[in-house]
Amino acid sequence: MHQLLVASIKMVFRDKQSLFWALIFPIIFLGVFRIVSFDNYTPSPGITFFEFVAPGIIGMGLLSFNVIGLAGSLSRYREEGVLRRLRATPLKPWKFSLSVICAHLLIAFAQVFVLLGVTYILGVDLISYGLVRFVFVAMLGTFIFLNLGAIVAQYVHGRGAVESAANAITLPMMFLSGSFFPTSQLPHFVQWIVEILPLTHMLRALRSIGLDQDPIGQQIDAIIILLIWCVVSFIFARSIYRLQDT
Amino acid sequence: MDIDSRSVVIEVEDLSKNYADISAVNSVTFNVFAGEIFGLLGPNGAGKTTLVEMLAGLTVPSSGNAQVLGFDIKGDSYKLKSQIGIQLQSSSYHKYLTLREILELFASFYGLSIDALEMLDLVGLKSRASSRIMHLSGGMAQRFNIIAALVNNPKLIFLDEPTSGLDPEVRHSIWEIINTLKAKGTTVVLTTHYMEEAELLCDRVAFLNKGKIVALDTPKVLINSLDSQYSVEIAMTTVWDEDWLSDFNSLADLNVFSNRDGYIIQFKVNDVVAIVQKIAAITAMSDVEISHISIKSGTLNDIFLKLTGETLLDVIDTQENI
Repeated sequence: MHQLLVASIKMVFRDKQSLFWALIFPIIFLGVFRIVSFDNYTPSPGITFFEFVAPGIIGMGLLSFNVIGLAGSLSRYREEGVLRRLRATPLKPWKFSLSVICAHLLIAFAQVFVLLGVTYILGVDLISYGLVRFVFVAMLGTFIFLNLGAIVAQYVHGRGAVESAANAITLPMMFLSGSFFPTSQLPHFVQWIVEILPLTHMLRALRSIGLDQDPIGQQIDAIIILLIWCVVSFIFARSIYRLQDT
Repeated sequence: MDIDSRSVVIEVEDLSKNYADISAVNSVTFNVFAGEIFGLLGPNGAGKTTLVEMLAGLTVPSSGNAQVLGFDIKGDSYKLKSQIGIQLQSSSYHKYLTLREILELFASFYGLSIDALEMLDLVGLKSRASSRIMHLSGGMAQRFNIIAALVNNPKLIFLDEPTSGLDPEVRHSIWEIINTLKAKGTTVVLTTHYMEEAELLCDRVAFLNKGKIVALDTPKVLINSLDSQYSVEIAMTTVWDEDWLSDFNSLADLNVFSNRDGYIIQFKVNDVVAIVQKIAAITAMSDVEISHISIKSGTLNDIFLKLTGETLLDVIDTQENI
């Protein structure tokens, strides 16, 4: 199990595409939003646009890395026959799944700290207050995104189609969940969709902790919704974790 | 030792696998004995891979029973997988791990710690220990597939078309590996559509056609069962006359072919010495010049022809052209 976890981490680190979604993509966004001036725009009182958007970009990074990265990896494993080869060994499927999930969670954990560090350097302090809660919420979101990635890999076949499907989930979610602007600015008729999406609740909780420095009571609703998402998405994702290759 | 006196490691009874209305494997029954190389022969789509995957616990049979190393393939698949090795025809390994890392990882699945470099050395890949699988040639990748199937030092290994698509030199190197396994007492189940490979390596072979076993025995016994065990061919540049040909016609069944160099007469016989003597006697009394004479023993491909009415090579060519 230990060796499988280490191997899974190595594989993610050596996969340039995964690393791009994990770090390069969100760092580019942070840089761009820092450089571009939105001085006249304040999404909420006392908060600059860059302060607002920084947690959104961290959430976006976690979403892309875990949905696109895991869906791509599982799809590649299936198409190249890696899952088939693993099934020929006495490796229990739950061990494989656990190692893949743990590897992504560990890398996402490191990813959050790197992005928090970059954000801090760029002038937004999300570290000083409620760091443990911030990371906990980020990890809940990561677990949901991993399950979404597994579900995409399960129901969509063909690597190109999997990547398209993963993008079709992540891109609208980024915009609808308030990564770049407050969800209150969206039309009324899409509000019910916004309230279903896990990224909405994750970003709401992250901003409440990192920017508003609210006590934990202010994030309970979002955390409960994220926990429900964790359970439901895991149930739907279970079958891909059984190493099925057809 | 008489092969039948050895212990049975695979016992298959009425095993079938159906996909919708297609019967991939149709009620096959056979045993494999400890220490033998058992060949499963047949064209693509004959059911070889499906049969191997059922015996390795990868595919659930539709009906029938099989015990492999004493484990029921339906109920004990994890215990079974821990005892066997398998090289799958269409599978791969993590492309971001090195060969050494893959072997160590796979050994960990069996709860073992191995000297990966030593294992790679066995198949001449020690110098590529830090390479990734995608950077290997086809032959190297196939040698790696085989050694990866041996990380748990199995008593039984399944090799599914291990030499398919490889050049002759690489095929010979893989045959050496298979012979080394046999020398160590490992039982090998080998699927192939190369007849000379089966004749050279296998103690016994089973012919599969359309999911059924149509023949099973040692290559020698199967070839001896042919009506004519040898093919004697004479090549000539001059045109024969009908009288001369009728002399040959009385000797044995013959076929006449022409090519750009002249003509070939092919005799299907059992007694080679007699036919050669008669050919010599007849040609001595005529003006016909024989440029070449060749004697070929019957092959497993002839057995396939006898059993199915088509040669294995024809079947494969047809499939490749589809």
